[in-house]
Amino acid sequence: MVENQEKQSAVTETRISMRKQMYTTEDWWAIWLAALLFVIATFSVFVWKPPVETLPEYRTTMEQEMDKAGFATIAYYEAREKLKGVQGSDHGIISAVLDLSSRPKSWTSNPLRSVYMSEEAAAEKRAAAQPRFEAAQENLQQARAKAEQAEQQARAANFQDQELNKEARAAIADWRDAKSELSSAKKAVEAKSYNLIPSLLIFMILIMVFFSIGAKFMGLNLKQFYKGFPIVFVLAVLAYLLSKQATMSALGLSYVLFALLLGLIISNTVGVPQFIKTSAQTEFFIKTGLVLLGARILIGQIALIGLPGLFVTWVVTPVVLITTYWFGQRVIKIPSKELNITVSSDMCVSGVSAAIATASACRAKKEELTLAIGMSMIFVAVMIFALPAIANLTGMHPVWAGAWLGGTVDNTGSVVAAGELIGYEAMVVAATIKMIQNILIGVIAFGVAAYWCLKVEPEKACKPGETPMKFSAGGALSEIWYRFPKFILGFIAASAVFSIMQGAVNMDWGNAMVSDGILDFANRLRGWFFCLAFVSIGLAINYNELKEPLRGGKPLILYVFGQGFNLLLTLIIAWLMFMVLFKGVTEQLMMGA
Amino acid sequence: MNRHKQAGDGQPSPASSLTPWLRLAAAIGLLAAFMAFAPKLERLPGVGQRIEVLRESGINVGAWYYDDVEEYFEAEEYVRKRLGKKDRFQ
Repeated sequence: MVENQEKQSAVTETRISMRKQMYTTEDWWAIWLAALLFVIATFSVFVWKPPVETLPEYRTTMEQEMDKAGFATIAYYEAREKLKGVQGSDHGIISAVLDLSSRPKSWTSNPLRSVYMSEEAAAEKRAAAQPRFEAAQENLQQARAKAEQAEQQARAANFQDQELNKEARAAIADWRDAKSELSSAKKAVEAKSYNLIPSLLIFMILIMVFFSIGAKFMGLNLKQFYKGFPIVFVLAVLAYLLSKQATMSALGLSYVLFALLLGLIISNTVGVPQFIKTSAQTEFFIKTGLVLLGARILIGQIALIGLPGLFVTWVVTPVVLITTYWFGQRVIKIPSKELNITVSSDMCVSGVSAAIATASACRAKKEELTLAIGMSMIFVAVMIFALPAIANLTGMHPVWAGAWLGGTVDNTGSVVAAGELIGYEAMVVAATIKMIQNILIGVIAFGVAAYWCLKVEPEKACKPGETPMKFSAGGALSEIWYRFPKFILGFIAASAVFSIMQGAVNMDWGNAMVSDGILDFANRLRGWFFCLAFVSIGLAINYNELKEPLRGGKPLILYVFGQGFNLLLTLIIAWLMFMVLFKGVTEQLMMGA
Repeated sequence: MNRHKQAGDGQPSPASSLTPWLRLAAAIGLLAAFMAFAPKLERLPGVGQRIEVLRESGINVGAWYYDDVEEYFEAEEYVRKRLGKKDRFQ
């Protein structure tokens, strides 16, 4: 009898019908709410359309100039600027939401500046910036005159004189630098007073109502949800504010770290009352954010640098991932498979975004995700400076160095920063490699979810020592479908829909309407949702629970082993691809240098 | 992540002699001290100069997805132009 009861408790579980899941679970509500946001954004860009009819004119000018000169002329850059100015996010609902959801601004020593600046302070800032602005204006006029003169001379020679072309390109580059300097000075000289608090309050109410739609169907206590949400939101605002401190920003310490930290401080000191726990819906926020993130995984970008790019990302990264996971399981024997795969994918794919997607796909514990992200952020802060220093000291070719950085540095902003410390070409290659690697997130999340529901979870459902249940082909499919985290479907569907959309339309139109319209809107909200999620994670973790997975330093050993292997293998493969097998690609990429 | 119980009961360790509110004040104090101390990291040899380069370039170093970094779009355009992948402009 007892044995029978044990057997039953080990293998049976209360099954919810798919229909019921579709309106009671956070996985499905994440999909519905993200879809609602996409519909609103799409409606906005079509009703309040940016002047897309002007795009072909700008593009024609750019192509004519490029065909004539073989390099970007003054007219080319001016047309490009106008082309980039056509954005769906400047109009309609999207523009209104972007204004309301403004994140705290950067600050140096006075945190209040992040959300509030008085008219007096703005006037002071304007006055202080005036001399710099005037100098920048004068500098721009001179640079423009020189660039025009140099371009005229090159044009007079029908762009056939390479020496004159070179001089023109250099003068145009100086003019662009002067323009960028003026634009930065102009921002300061046009500084206006601001107070983000009222708009943030309205935004808070909007997203509280937005999430409460799902919360109601998921059976949460709405009264408690409404009571606790403002506290979670204020902590999210504070996390953004702290991350905007000038040094923190430059070190790449993002809001994720501060959101976790603030949550942890509250939960481990004064504690978290039930009404805040009800509002701190980690899964709900994170999954909605992930479906929105899916829209930015554009499959068309996979072939940007052709075979060498594919090898450095889609061959090296899975090899490193599998090897690191194997090392964690077999060599250092990490007790939690979820922690192992979360740290492995965080380290070898693309840091935070991959960690969130993988942790959600395998249902890792909150403290496991926190640990993976915490380690990655600390290592990234070191790698931003260490890797470019090594590349510069050893005189690595910029394309090789860029590919190495793109394949190894975890977070995308840090990749660009590290590349910038080597040079423009290294930055461009690093950014492109990372972009191609980012597409892997969807594949890995899908693979991990499938592996977990087919292999890991059935093993867990058995008593120790028993053989996991064997599925028939049909039974396995049905089991996978039942256990599969459904939000991943939303994530993949968003990626597929937007990839098709971007691939099917003219690139400029796609950029104006989709990338700088619908996706800008999704991106802003996604940032807030993830920030709320990380605050919620911190609020749910007890310090002692965080100590448990750290025991024996195994996650650290795993990270160091994986990253060491990643650095070495990427270095070799990037050299082989860009310096030996596909030298032509490298030469083409260096043509502008 | 939902297979586990809601972690953290938020109760401070009974062994602690500090009250929860004192612990909170101490944690906030530590965080404030860190924020005040952090800018001094820029004085470390080599670090300050590199940070200045990054600050001038305006890169969003803390961004963890490419669409938050303007340079990614510039990079895509550069690569397409250099490798002659213009088809999507037509």
